[in-house]
Amino acid sequence: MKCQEAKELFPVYIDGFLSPEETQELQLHLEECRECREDLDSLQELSHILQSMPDVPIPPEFKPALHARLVEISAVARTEVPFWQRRWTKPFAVAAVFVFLIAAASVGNILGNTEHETIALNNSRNVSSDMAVPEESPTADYGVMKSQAQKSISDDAVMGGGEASYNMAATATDEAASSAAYENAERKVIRNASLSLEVPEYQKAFDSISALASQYQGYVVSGNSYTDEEGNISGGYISIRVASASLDTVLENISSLGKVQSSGFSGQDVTTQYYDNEARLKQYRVQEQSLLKIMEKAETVPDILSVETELTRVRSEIESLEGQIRYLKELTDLASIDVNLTTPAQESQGISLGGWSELGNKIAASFITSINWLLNGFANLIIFSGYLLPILVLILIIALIWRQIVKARRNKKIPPQ
Amino acid sequence: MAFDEYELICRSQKGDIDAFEQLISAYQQKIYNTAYRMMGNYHDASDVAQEAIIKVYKALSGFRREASFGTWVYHITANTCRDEIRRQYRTHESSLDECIQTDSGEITKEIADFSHMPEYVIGEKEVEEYLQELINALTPEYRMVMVLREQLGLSYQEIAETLEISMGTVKSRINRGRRALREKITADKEHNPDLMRLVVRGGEKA
Repeated sequence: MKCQEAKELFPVYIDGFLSPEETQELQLHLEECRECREDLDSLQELSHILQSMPDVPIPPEFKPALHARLVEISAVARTEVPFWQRRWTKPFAVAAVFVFLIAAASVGNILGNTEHETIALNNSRNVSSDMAVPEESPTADYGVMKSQAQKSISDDAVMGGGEASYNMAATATDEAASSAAYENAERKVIRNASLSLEVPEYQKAFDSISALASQYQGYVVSGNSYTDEEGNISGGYISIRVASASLDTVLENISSLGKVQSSGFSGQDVTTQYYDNEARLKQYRVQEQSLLKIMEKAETVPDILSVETELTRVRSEIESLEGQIRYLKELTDLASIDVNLTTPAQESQGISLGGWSELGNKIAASFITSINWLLNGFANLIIFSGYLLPILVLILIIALIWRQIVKARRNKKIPPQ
Repeated sequence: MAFDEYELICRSQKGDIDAFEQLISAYQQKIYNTAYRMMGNYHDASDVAQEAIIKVYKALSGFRREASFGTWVYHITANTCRDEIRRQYRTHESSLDECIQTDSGEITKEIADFSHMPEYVIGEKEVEEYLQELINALTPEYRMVMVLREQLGLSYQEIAETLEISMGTVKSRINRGRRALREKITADKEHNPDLMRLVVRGGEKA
């Protein structure tokens, strides 16, 4: 080892960081070289002197000053302890600006949605007023009923947050499935309609309706009429059946006879039931044929008897099914219409109650209107808070991140442990 | 870590000032020594030492006991001294990398400036002052390395990390710093018999 190499190892040797191998090599050199030995000794001595310099006296005012600073700091720390109270203004401002930029990008979207919401709200208000004062629409006809139904559906969609539309979709799927199973099969629907009609002349209306029944391959099922105290016929009831296909035409004709005061409509889809029965009937017929063949071959009395028993059971099933099919066919082929007929009330000389009539009902109705209006308002408020929630969450997250960044920067000067 | 110290740390982390003062008292002297050797005067030393202790107090909640408390405290002290020295030299508009040009000896030119050293040294107190003057005369870069090593006892690795310089630089600065101080002492010894006990042997040119 040369002197130069040795001298380079001196500081590491003095400070005790030299590896055992290098220490050994260095010591070999030192034994040979007096100059290096003395150099190292003096450096070691110097290091020792520097390390053993006496303590610097701490000025007497140092500790009190330090104490004062510590008290000051912990007082400040104590006043700003609750994390939700301090240093949130800036993070929130930054986050809000950020979110505003995002919102600005999709503002058209949100505005569009809000508009839609308002329209829906108006719609539902209309519906509730319609329901509350039905007597204000005496010319109510079939079309009004339909539009009311539509309105109530859209109302449901708003209130139930799409649940209604989900249900509708589900029904549609079911129908699609069954129609796939009975493809090319004719739909079998039992149709019923009912009407309440105010007619000028009762007997004329009654006769016209009866005529309509026979005109459209149907018949009058039942009818009755009632009279008032003076013996005049004041109203009645007639139930007819007409060919299902011409139900709409017949209803129109009946409606034209007088003022429609209410109308109802119902349909029952029995397609599945009808074709199930047909399928079962077919199966039983096949079974009957094979039983007849067995019967021909049967020779012993017990065999014949048992086949007979089975044949009887199958035949009764066939008859029952045929009956059911006939019944369904008849129900679906012919729609039934119930018509309630009334004549206008005779002019009476009694005291007219005018606006006072049904006062309680009217109060109740307006009370319900108001309650409904309020409930709708609350529902829309909750729905609108749905818009706000993700935005608020986003603001909170960004504020947190910003705070962390600022905190990290502030702590950067304090070294890792 | 001693149980007492562990308990004191826990209490200090909850904001107990008395506990913290008790805890830091064991380290206070070394912190002050370091600050004084580094800054060279009581005024700056008090400021830096207080700053370092306040930093320890503020950062205490983040202390996870992965290192010994002493090591951690000395790291903070070293960083505080470094920051203060760099701040002072920034305000004096002179870069640490620049050599301080003086009329004194060629050997010590880039390492220290002994031009303001007292000429005569008498008695023990003066010897200590003389040594402090020697350290003060070192350029900040050398002074920091020397103080961190000789006063605070940091390893080369720790010094390198604190000052953000390489291990080789640390080693070379320690070597050259020691030699520079030794040359100066050897030279002064001829005029000041009181210094005789400082560096007994040596004197040969390195």
